[in-house]
Amino acid sequence: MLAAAVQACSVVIHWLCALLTRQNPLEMKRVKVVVVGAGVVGSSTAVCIAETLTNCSVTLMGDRFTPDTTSDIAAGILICAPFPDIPLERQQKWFKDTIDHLLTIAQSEEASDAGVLLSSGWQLHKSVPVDKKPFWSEFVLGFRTMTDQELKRFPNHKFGQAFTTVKCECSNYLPWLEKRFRKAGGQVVKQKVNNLQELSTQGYDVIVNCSGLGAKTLVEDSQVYPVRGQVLKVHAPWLQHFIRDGEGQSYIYPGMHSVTIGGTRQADDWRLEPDPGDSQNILERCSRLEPSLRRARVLGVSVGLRPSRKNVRLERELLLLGGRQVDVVHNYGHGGWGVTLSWGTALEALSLVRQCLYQRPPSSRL
Amino acid sequence: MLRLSRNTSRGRLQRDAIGFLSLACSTPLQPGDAIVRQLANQSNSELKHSDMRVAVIGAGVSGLSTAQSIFEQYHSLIIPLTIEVYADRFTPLTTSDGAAGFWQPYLYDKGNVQETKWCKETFDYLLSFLRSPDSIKMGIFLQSGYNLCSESAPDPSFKDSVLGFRTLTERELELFPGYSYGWFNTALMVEGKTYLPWLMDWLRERGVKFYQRKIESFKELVDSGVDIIINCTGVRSGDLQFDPELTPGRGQILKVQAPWLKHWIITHSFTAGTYNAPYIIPGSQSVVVGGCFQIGNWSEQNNSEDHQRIWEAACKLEPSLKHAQIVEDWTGLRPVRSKVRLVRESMQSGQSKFEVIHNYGHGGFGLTIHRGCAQEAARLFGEILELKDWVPKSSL
Repeated sequence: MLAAAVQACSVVIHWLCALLTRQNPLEMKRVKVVVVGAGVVGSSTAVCIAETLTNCSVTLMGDRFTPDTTSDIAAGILICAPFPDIPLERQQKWFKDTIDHLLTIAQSEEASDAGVLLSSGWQLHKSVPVDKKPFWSEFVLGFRTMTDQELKRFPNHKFGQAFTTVKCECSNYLPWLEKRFRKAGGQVVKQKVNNLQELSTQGYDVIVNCSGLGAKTLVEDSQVYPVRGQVLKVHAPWLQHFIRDGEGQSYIYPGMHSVTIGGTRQADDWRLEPDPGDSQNILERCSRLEPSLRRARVLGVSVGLRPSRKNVRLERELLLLGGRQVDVVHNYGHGGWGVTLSWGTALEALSLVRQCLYQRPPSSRL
Repeated sequence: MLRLSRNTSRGRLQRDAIGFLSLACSTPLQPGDAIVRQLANQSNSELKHSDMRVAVIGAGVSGLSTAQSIFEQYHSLIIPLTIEVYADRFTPLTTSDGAAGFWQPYLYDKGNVQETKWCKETFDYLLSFLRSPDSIKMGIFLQSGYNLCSESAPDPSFKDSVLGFRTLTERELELFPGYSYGWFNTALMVEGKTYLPWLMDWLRERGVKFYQRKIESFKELVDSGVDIIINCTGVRSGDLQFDPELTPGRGQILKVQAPWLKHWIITHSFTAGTYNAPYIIPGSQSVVVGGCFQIGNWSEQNNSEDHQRIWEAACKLEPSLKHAQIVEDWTGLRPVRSKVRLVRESMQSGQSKFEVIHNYGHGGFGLTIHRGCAQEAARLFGEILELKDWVPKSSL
């Protein structure tokens, strides 16, 4: 409903501008926006822009699309750790916006199409943590400390938290987002972008950089580095709860069609091939948490490189590219929290794009 | 190999004789030695009622688990202990098979604290298997979910039995428009279609025999030499012995494919009555959708009007079901009774006196209460043995 109201306002303003500048409103130049990167962050950002800024033409551009993005490997459970240098309220808003958006989908008829489901479970700690409540604890459902009776099942752990969060499976969610994007008039282009100049040459006015790990070369950001994650998909349909060990070393995430177990966190490791030693190790660690996994059939193994950065980069800059002034909004470096922060950072990226447009000369505004 | 009875009178005779002979011989005697066997046979003829035939009627969860409890507690005290299970329906065709397999008693026990205790005993028993990888073979796993009410209500009788019991938060209630109160907890699933075959294998491995036939009367079994009858005939107990308090509580369920659902959702309407309000219970293979409890209805046929009503109510409760594929319907008759009949009864047929232990009338909570009741039935079995002097009081 909010999107519709904004849409109505922007149309009115467009016509008013046209009247003031004595231009035919229908001939006013549409702002060309390109979103680079078609993972969960790029796709979410593209949808937000296309649905809200209806007088922009929006293109989603990437060299890889679902099911070949990093997001497709992710289990998609909404949990995260804080970035050290970003105000907590801002991160909280990102988390809250994302979970609220996904909860609405989970309670709708679209839930199964979109791959969104409620997931309850336990986060376990071997010793009592200093911070007993993560910064997002009030945004998930029913967050509480585990009872002694509940902890009995996990003899190696002294403390735990129980809550209900959302699981968002990108192999369904990304195609669902793409449908929404196209419905809002968006264009999808499969193309590898080597540098931002190319995009300026192609006539784009605003570049939204959601290139994830690709930002390392695309915008020469040396702070970006991969954190390799290997996961196994197993057949264990009797598992209904997630179990996560403290810092996320080991986790069990039941999904729609399989259970994802993991993981590894290997910084600066670019290997995309599965490592059999890692698989063995993951099975062993997870079976200790959940003994019934010893009876589970392994369906497959995958590897993803988390696009990590000390802090996510979500900001705008004005660049001179190929003789043109081009607005660039960066939205990358989400590490292992891409799905978790996707909608919230997309909304903030949208507001940054809007700012860019308001600061343009009148003829090309909106 | 000859096994010596540990605590029976016959056992004591055997040991006394062997002890004397051992003293007389230079090498100690072993149970397998021929002379020991001879002694045991001699002791047999001096005692009566040393072996026993127990017939369990009914192969649902109550019959099978009672057979298990009796075997567990008495197989080393009574030798030989012959246990036979008679039923016209075996898994996967029993009422226990069709049920979702969700552990939860009715919200309130209405003073039947014994039943609450048996349900808790069952929960604790099933929970103890969870650390074993074999829990899958038994069909046991944990699942959390929501009990929803349209108005605030007292805490349910099972709040201390389950894990992590708490009231629902405002945000959680927003997920369920139309419901303003409720609880969240983690409970157990025990799926009949897996649990019953596991029980049968367990019993078969221990020499229990199964016979597929409908028993028409207790007399039939007594005439064939059965000593004690365990009556676990569920909703059709009335065929063997008239019981005005027993009535069917017809339930129809839809089995659907909705693998994105990981929580059970049970709604409660204090006007419509227990289980006449929609419920959704995901399982390991499919999701059970229900909300039908018709007292006095004996029809085991699926009804299309019930199907429609159940489906519409469930989709309203959980909109994502709209895209679920409906696999099939199933109808079962809950063996409803004001309270569970779990007592022993001395009966007579002609000149023969025999004992019956009744264990039926578990309504919609058979799987939920089965172990507690089976253990109680085994305790009643022990009472019978004491009375009949099969086993001295001190050994129980």
